[in-house]
Amino acid sequence: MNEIAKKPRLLAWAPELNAGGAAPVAPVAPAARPAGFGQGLVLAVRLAWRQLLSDRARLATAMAGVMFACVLVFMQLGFKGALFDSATNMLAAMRADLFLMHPMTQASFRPERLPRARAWQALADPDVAQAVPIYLEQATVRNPLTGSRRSAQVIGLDISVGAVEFTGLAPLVGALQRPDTVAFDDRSRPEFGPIGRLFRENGPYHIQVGRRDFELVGLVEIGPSFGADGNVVMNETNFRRVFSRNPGMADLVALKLRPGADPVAAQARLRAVLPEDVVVLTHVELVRGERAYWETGTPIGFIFLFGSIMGLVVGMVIVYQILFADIAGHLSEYATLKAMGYSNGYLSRVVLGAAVILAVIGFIPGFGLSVFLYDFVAGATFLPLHMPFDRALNVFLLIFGMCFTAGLLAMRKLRDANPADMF
Amino acid sequence: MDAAMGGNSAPPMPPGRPQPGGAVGDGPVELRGITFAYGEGELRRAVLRDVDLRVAAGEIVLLTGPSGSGKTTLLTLIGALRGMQEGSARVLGQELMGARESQRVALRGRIGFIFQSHNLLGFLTARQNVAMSLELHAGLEEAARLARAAEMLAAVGLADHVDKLPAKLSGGQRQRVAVARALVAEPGLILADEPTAALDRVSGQEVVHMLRDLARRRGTPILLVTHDPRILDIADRIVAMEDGRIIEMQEARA
Repeated sequence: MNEIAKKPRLLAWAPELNAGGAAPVAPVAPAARPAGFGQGLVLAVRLAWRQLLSDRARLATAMAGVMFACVLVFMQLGFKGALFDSATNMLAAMRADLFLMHPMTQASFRPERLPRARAWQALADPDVAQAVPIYLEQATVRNPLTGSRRSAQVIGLDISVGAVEFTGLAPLVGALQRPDTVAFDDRSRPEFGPIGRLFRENGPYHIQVGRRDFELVGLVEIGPSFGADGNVVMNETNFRRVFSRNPGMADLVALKLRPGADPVAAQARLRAVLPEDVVVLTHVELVRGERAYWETGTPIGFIFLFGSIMGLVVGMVIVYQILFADIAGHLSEYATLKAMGYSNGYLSRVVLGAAVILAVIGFIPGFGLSVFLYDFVAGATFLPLHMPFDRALNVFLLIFGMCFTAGLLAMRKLRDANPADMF
Repeated sequence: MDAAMGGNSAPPMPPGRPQPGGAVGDGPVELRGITFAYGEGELRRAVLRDVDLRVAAGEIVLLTGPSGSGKTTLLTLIGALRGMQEGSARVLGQELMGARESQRVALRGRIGFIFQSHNLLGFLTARQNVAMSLELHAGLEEAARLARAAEMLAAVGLADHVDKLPAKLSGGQRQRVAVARALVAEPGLILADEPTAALDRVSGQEVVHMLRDLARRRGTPILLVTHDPRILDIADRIVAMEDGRIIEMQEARA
């Protein structure tokens, strides 16, 4: 009946089982010497991985939960970034070296005016090659098909100077200097009608800006911003025909520096020379200031933050549920491990290991899906959605924190695994 | 090294076989005056009253008695699964009265437990389950752990089932895996609670005889709680308990 005596094996601790006094094999394991922390961690994570793998349906649910949170946060952050990027489309399109602005201007759609003379004063600096006053007003543009009107940003400036390089503007310099001519922003929202398509098909035609008829002579590319759905560019003289305002006051001044000049040094010199009613900004500072206005002055940032937090909370609850169910379903096994001499700390590392594994294997497909959705949504809405590295890293850290927190919460269930109840 | 660790001055390993004439007073289990009660105040219910028990090196002791007699509580106290209340319990050289949690966890690692149900981890193979006992101990590589686990499974007659999940094994085979798991880390003591409760007569007998033979070859003492009269023949000594007291001790074999 006893099969053991019939099947001798090489057993170090039972040399009498070894046939013919064969040499003993591996030395006996030293008891009561716990494994090192690092090795213990690897083993704990491996145990967590094996446990996760054993229930594919549950693993898929957990992965889907993490993916869901991941995609939600990526989309919220993506939309937020895209909206703030587009909020500054007009200023971002104005490529000059330095800008003068009134210090009380908060946003470009509502500028505080500054004396136009500041532009000429700035020319006194040896590195400033050109200074162009820019005039900003809101005016309605009539849809050429339906006749309905919609507000657009009208940008007036001395086209001939060429200090502000809107994409597509350079070939239009001659045409725009004729009376009553405008260039329309081809990236304006579609509510203005197919202005760009009609122009490409039929050539110049008349459109109405404000109450005045203009000849459309070309298209530029700027893009809608929060303050305006579309943009119209016209020469300074034409601008004055539509808007009667104090000719001595401008809304913004663009400065072009001589090639090779240091913009930071020029900025410092101008700041020292010019009076208190102007600030001197680089292009980056100008765009950043506009963006900060929309981020802090509106609830838009909060809305997306709220959406992101909701995604993280839902994801956390899902991961918590999964981990909790895993522990609750294996209480006797966990208690057995405790009876075998596994510490609470080891089992906690198993649970946290499972949480971290879920974070990683949920994030990877979530990231992939988000990149795909970014492309898809960007194609459908023209929102500038893209995936910068720091956003991917931040979202990973958020997801990691989410799973880790869920693990910490689920860990409390381990206390219910009491080895004394096992007997 | 032990001195540097402080506190835990347990002997490194029990000897490979029973020591001839092991010093009295230093057996694997030395219980004196153990009293234990559950509940507080008026609900306080004593389950152990002044229990003295000694298990000698290599001895196989069966603990019997009606349910509620306190034998399982005694087993959990000896296994360091429960905090002591009164008395003195030296198990494998570790005094459990007032022992810290970390000391108790360390002691458990040197005891092999066998439960009523096998309690194997369902997502690990038989071999991986057995190797879990070895993962607590540094100094063995993964390959060595698995090799040792496979040897141990062969010793309980499961050489052909090492890579099966517990769900693919019969009840008797699972309990044999549990025996292998309890034995593989070379414990100084084996505590078993009704290991045959879930098994039919034949497989129950097989499991306990296997346990007895393996333990005897290594000189590992066994303390086994059972109701099952069919397995009394494995004992060196049978201890009967009732109402929290030891009422009878008998040498089972000549």
